[in-house]
Amino acid sequence: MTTKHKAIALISGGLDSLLAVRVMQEQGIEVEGINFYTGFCVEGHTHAIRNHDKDKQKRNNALWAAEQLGIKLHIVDVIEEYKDVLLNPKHGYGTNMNPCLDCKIFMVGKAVQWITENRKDGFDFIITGEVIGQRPMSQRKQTMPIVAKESGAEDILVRPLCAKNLPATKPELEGWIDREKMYDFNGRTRKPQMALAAKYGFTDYPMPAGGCCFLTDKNYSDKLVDLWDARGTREYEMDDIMLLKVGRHIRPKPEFKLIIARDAGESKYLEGYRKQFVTIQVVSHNGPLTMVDGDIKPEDFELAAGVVARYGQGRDSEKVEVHISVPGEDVRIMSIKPLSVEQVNEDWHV
Amino acid sequence: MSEYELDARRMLCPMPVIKTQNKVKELAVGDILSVICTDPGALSDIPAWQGLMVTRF
Repeated sequence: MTTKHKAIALISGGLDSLLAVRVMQEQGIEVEGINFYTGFCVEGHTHAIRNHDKDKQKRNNALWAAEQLGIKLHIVDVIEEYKDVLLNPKHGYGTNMNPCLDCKIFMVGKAVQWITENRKDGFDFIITGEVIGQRPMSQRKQTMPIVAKESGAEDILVRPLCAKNLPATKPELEGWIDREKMYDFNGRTRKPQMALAAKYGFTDYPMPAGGCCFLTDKNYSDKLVDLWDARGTREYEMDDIMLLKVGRHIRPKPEFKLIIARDAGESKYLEGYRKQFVTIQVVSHNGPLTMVDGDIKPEDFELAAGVVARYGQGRDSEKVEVHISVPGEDVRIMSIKPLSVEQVNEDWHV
Repeated sequence: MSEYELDARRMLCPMPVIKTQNKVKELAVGDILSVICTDPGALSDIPAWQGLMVTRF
């Protein structure tokens, strides 16, 4: 009787990790999934804050992938640990603030740690959905051995979708898995993955254009750098990185930024921050809830309210009534004239 | 048997799932856990996670 081997697979919720696991399951490997939540992960619910995304199916793609595969999924909060990856990437950033190579090393390293800490569960090796040439920074022929070495995984890291292009790993050499039944995918094309998905009957899988991380997005990265510059420190909290995903960000002065909801969905989301932050709302007309991030002085309330009024239905009125709520103080009522398009300086837009 | 309440208000998924997952590890058989969420996605995600994990024990 042969021994059944067991692997832990990094599940992002994307197609590649889904396929990589199924390839291993076909070889009789028992798989459990692990998903790391950095706070920067792109997933359906974050988008669903906005009205126009309400019709999209609300699902966590990693959970969906695990359901398709019939595997357990461990979701791990790595928000705090991930700060060091983002702030001090040994291998640097990609086009934006994406430390992709360090991120991959970190996640595979966390999987190694998981195997060690859960030795009773008997995991033999690690699976990822990496494909040589798929990502310009982290998934290149030269970086594959770097990930294996620096994560500590060494020869127990198996990439079933491109294994034939890589040196044989321990599971192959030991005969736990058959190298010939794995793949040699290479490059940015998605056609081989789509063909394999069709073969396995996977449909409705997510294919986000920028990958699964907000840090690859230029607009998001610009807002993050603006936040750090304004504060004079690169420290951040969970609320900071969530709020960068919400609203229109306008910085009329270096000391404070306005986060203006773009629709009712975002207004509702910002409502949750009313007790912590100064908020501004036009009450004489329909308009978005706005949150003030930073240090706003009372003499700047009129400027801030003028900007906010620009984005409400009273934008062409002579006067609008605005409520400014400072936590712990009575609501201030102001009557102000909305700023014109020209008065909202282009440079203020983050 | 004990009853517990987990406050996951204002958290966006997957945080309510992660908090639920971590709390469930501390529970004994028969304990009851209520999770209070504001992200409507939790209504699908927590049962999905439960389907993957809890019924397999």
